[in-house]
Amino acid sequence: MEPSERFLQIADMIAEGEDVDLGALLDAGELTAGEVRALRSLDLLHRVQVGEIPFDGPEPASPTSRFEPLDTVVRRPNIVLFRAKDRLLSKTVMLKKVTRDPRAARDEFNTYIQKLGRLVRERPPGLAHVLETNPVNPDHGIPGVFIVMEAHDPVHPFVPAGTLAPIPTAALARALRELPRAIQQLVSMGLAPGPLDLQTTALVQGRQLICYDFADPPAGTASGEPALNGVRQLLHVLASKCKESVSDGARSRATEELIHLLEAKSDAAGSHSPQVAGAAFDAWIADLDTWLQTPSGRVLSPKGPFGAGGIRAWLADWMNR
Amino acid sequence: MNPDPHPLEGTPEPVENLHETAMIISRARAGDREAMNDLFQRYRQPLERFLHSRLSPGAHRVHDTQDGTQDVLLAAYQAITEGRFQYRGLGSFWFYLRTAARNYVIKKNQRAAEKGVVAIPEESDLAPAAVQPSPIARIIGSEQMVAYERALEGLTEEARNAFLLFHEVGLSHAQIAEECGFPSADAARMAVSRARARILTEMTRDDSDA
Repeated sequence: MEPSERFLQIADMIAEGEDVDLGALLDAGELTAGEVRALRSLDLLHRVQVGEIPFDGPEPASPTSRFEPLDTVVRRPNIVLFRAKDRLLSKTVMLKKVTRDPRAARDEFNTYIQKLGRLVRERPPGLAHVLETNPVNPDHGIPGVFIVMEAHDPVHPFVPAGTLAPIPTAALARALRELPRAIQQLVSMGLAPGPLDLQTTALVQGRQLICYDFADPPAGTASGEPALNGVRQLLHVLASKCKESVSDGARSRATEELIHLLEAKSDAAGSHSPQVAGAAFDAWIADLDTWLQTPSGRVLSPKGPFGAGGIRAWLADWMNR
Repeated sequence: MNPDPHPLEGTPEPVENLHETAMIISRARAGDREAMNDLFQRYRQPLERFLHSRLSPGAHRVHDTQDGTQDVLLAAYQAITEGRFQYRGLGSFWFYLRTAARNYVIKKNQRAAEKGVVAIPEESDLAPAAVQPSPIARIIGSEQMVAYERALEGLTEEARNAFLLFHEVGLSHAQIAEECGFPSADAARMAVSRARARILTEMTRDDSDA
């Protein structure tokens, strides 16, 4: 398809040094996400090459990123807090990383949020919108990254069209937004473990991919039991918040199914030994196989949250595409 | 004020310095050894920026960037003195340099990948497990970089030179007109605009294909 006259006109305006709000043009439907991305990419290449953007020191923000990395603000033994500006919400967000290598962690962080930013700006089918990034409470060590992605496109690239129920994202998103406070309460009550690291919660066609990280068990504990308890609590809170956020009459079948799923998984995670609960969780994650079907028919088989990567690796792989 | 500036930091090279390349090349051809120093002085920063932004983290060290700059300029100097490079304006010269620099980047990045020096922290709970691209590719995406280079190759020499002189060398349209033989600055502007449209079309097409 040939580019529109408007697209080329805007390209010339940018080249002549005019300040063009590409985000507004994207929102107004005058440019596609791909056109905005191409314009920003070319502009960045130009500005880096002619020395307008120093490519040393702080890395320039991604032309498609919603988050602008600011700095590492707190360093404690093994804990690094990162600060980033959320351009959409005009607020500063913080993310936590437990690490022995703050410098490497900072690089990881920058890469990570830029990829997320790309997802947001490009709005690829399936995953499109980061709804919330919540601050971390370092005193409690509660989840450092809390991101909800909402599916806008009716056809997820990995899911055959029409095979999934309507998306109850609005209800769940509202519920998820309340989670940090709920988690804080759980932590203060001693019900949720500090090191539970809820990494990324992604909603894909109404199905959620929750990426937990069990890599950092609490000091002094060898098993993932405390984290599993936290998972149970989280699922319980999710289910109850979903219930609260939508009145009985307005609940769709999909929402009901989601609540049922959350409650069932909450029970499964909480009623067994860590090993059994792990198996239950693996089984749940294995269900995702049916959701993770590529257009070519290849099924990506996540290994579960206890495997090497699991869902997180799948999500990362998808994000890297 | 930064007490420890990065070795690659510096103010943008005045375009006029690059604009006098024809004179340096003619001196080099006449056997003037000082011409190499002039060439290095004038093209060090643009080449360093080019290399620095494109070397992958595994291959990326400051001395690699500076070594690369020296290698590229030395090869260019030898090509000039040995008659293997025929100067046809600044655009053609910059294209020659960036092609040599791209080859250097490809070689270094491949070598770094083969040695497995790309560090993927096992304990990561934030970063996706992936081979790290170059800094510029990490920001705009590797596929956009490929599309950009592919689109450049598809342009005519005149259009490509005009485009590169504007977007990578930073010349004004009037200077481009003078360098490339356009009758006026407006004619140069039109040529750059058309080339830009071709490039952006390719980058957008690549994006929609992805």
